[in-house]
Amino acid sequence: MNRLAIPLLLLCAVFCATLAHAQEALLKGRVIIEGTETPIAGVVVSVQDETGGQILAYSITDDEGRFSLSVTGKLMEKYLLTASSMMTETVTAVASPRDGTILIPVKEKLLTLRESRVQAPKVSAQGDTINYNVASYVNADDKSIGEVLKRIPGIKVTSDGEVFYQNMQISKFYVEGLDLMQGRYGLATNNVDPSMVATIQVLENHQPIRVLEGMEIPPQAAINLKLRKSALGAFFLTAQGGLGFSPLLFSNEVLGMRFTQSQQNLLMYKNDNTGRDITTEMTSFYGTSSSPLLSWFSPEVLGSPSMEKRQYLFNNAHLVSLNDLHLLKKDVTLTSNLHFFLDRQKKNGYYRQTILDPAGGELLIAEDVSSELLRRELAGTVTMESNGKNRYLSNRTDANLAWNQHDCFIVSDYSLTQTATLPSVSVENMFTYKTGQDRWSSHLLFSRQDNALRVSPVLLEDLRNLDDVAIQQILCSQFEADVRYYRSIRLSRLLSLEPSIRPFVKRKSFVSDFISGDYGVNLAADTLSNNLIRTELGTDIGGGLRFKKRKFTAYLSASGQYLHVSRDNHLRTLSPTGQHYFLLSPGGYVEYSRRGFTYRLNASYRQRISDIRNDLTGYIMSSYRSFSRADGVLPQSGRASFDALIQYKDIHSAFFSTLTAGYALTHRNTLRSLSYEGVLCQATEVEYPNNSDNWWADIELGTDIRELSSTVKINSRLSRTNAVTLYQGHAVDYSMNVLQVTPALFTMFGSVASLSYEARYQLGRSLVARKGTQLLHDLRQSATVSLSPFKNASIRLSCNHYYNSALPSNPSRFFAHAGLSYKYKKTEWLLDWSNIFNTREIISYYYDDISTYCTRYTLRPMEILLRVRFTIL
Amino acid sequence: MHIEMKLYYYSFTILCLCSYFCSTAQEKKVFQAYGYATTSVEDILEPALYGIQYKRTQLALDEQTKETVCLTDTLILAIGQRTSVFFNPTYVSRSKAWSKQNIKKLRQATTPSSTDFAPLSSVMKEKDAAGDYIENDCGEPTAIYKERDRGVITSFLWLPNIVCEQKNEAFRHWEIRPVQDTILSYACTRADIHYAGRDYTAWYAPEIPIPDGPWKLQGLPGLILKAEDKEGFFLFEAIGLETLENACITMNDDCEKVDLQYFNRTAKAERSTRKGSFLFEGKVYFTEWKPYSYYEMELTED
Repeated sequence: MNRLAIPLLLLCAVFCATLAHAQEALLKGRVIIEGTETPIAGVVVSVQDETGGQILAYSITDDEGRFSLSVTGKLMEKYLLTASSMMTETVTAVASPRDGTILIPVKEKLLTLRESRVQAPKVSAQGDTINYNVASYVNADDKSIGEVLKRIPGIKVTSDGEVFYQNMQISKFYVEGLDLMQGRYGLATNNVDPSMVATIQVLENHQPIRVLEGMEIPPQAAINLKLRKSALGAFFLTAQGGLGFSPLLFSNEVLGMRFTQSQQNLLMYKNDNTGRDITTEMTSFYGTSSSPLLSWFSPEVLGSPSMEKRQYLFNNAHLVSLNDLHLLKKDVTLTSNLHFFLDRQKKNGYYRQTILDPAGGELLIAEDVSSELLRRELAGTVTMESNGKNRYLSNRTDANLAWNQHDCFIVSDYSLTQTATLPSVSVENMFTYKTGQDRWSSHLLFSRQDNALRVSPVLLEDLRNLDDVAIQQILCSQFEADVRYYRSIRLSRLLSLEPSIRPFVKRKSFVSDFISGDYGVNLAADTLSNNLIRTELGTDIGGGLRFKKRKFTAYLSASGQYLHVSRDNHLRTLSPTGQHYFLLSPGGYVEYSRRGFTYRLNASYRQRISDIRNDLTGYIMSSYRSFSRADGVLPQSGRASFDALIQYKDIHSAFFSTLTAGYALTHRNTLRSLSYEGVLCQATEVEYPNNSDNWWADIELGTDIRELSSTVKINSRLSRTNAVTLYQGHAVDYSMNVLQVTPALFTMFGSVASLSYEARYQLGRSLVARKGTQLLHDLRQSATVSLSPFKNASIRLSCNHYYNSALPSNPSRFFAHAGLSYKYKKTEWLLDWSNIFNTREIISYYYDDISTYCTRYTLRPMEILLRVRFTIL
Repeated sequence: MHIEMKLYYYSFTILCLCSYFCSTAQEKKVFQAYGYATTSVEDILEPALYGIQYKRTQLALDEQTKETVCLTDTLILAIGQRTSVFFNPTYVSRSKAWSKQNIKKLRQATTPSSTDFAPLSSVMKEKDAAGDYIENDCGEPTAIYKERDRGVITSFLWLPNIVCEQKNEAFRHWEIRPVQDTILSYACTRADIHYAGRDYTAWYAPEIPIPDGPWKLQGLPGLILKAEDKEGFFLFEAIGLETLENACITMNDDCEKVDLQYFNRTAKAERSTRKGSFLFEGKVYFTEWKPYSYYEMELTED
């Protein structure tokens, strides 16, 4: 019996416990609006355990506000009910199943969400394309996409508008994948409104020629602006009128643009005299478009101070730019660009050059200078490009016409004027045809310069005449033509051989006369005239060997140039002299990429001979106090350079870094000898074998700090140059050491405010004949605060500080500017108050080989400018 | 309903209607429409108060490589006082843009064009030569309306304009688990359910007392911020929460009602087929191909 009693008791206990658990409490009721009998539907009524944590049961009220809760488990006397909904306050009530219909009154209140808005990532990557979300970097105060580009980590924009990605120049600048500007991308960066752009894309290792995709992987990146859908295909027409004073200021423009994936147009007229150098928009940054013209005169004495151009540039510029691109059919584009500008730039200041004579003493040149540069330039480009998968064909024709003039008025112990008239014309054509294996290209160039430098009075006693006027006339024309054939032969899956041949011809003629007096009396002295023709015939023969395996690439090239140079100097009755040269240019690189890192080692050697400038055995007056000539020896140089690069990027944290270090050794057989007689300088290229070398290390870091909504950039460069110069017949060794640190910080405080800070600190020292000059500390910094207290209004306050330790009395200068902008419907009102402290001059101090320079510039006064911008379309 | 709340509700509806009439007059929309509908006044259901953005991740079979791929898109749950709509906000605009392009091409055509959709692989040469090939890559084509007060789920397909109605009774059987997590700064509780042949785990936020969620999922004492099926085919994650202003839920009620099986079959075909068009030698070619094969969410009818 006892044996059965225990199991039976246990069974009873379990049965009782199960019964207890199976019990159910039913809670019924209604939810109504407090103070009324109005029921409310959609209210979540829940029963929680004693701790208020676990939900035991829940119900949602119907149209009559009714709920019914069935609570199983251990029965309780009281239950804690919670009623909540999106339209009411959360209410808790204690109720018992015995209460019958439970009435829960609630107060109306709309639920407040803790909002969490979806934001596109600031930076994202897709293959070799890095996407920067423009909305994450734009400020309410930004007027152009160029201002946004400056803030983006990994991208650097120089003061003249050139764009670098990871410390390397970009190779192309596209809008919606099309190259409308053909290298003059300042037109886009300065005029495209950031609100039009959705994404800035960096196309790494961009190969613009489709047929070469996967075969040749260039190290340079390209930039592509992806427009917002609303901007794609829309025609934008804006007009701006600006008027100001101190003195009379104006800033007017009409701008029309339309971008689609098959047709693009950008039409612009600008007129400005407020110090904004609008002509920089005309600068082409593609290597193929460098000017073929040679510079013969150096009429400018003052140079430019190390500060924002807008503060010292007295200008009056008119600019017209017409750009059109048509996609004729698939992959075939026709691009035409026509630009004209007229710009008058004035400068005033004081200039002092101190030449350190290692034999002891100093030579001092001090002058007051006022100059006026009148630039009138017309440039046109027509490009036809067929960029197919199997074939690439392109033809580009550039034509440039310029008739510039540079006037200088100089006062010292003497007083004189010099005027350089610089008309020139050049026409250039480049043709390229490429298939998978064969590549043909040709290049034709013709240019002509008919320049003159008029000086009055003449400083050199021997050249003085009755009129006291001397004119240096130069007529230089050049013709170049070359054809290049290049073939890629695949030796194996990993290895390819790339032989090439480039025959070329260059013919340059040069005539110069030194004319005394305005009525053109040629001075008989042969030493003051030149008349020669230089003809170069040659062939480049080269070969490249490329090895590529996954992320590893090795490239070795060996090219040689056979060159025959014929120099026919008519004036000195020398019979044409011909010389043969064989110039070597071997080189190669190794590149490896892994996990965000890229390592690259470059080595190259290049031999060159100089251009026609060093054939001139007669004197050329390059400025009122400088004469130069060569002694007939053809300068040759050989340059060996090595550099190493480590790049690292982490897209997730938007961290970009580049470390570059390099060394270059140059050997030359001639040197420029400078002889001073008073302020007059005679420069002669003489035979003097010499070496110069320089090394550098460069670090660039850029990252987003998301927690602080900030972007930080730091660029640091350390360099040393060792070289030799000939001064007064003596060889003088000199070296220049420069450390430059450039930090920048951009912070956004929501959409209400932003702060940007940029600085450049430079520490420099030069050694002349092993004697050190003083350490030079140069600091320039600027801070800008933008506030947007209202939706359509913004305030901008900026401050600039310049410090130069070489100026003992007052090494610091401060400038302040303020701006207001207000948008009303389709108009935008912009009020600028610049140079608030009315600081009228700045002094710059710098050095160059064996000279130090101290220059005082007259600055623009305090100015107020009101601009009204109308959005017409 | 309390008088103030009614006032709020009606005044907002009147505001939306006024805005609509103004927009018609000025050719401008002054309220944001959530849902698949024309901008007809009759299509406005009620003001949309909250917008929840969900990232949907789903597995699909790549028809070219026959490999399983992971596809993501962003869908919106717009919530009103009584109803909600879960839909792809770019579907209608993209679909209309594609139609516009086709009309433009048909205008440019000089040869009569067949409106039949040819397999893309059969006209690849012409497509490559034409260079203006465009696809209707519009994303998820269906919209799910939930009328919480009526307990009805309405699935809607823009083209061919069909709807399917279901009761939401299946969502009374959630099992709440004592497991917590945090999503978008909200404390969430886990709940499990078996629905339409799949087992789902959902994470709801009791702090947001809206018994709604992504797709058809609903009925929990808080908004579902994350839901996934046990096999890992489908995942919905809330990535954004916002209060809406000047927004309405819209629905086109002039649709053919079909059964769930037919609806799902049509929706799957619409989802899987990528239609394209191009103009070649004066003729418009319409093409279609299937980049992905999608898995069914509903294996059975519940």
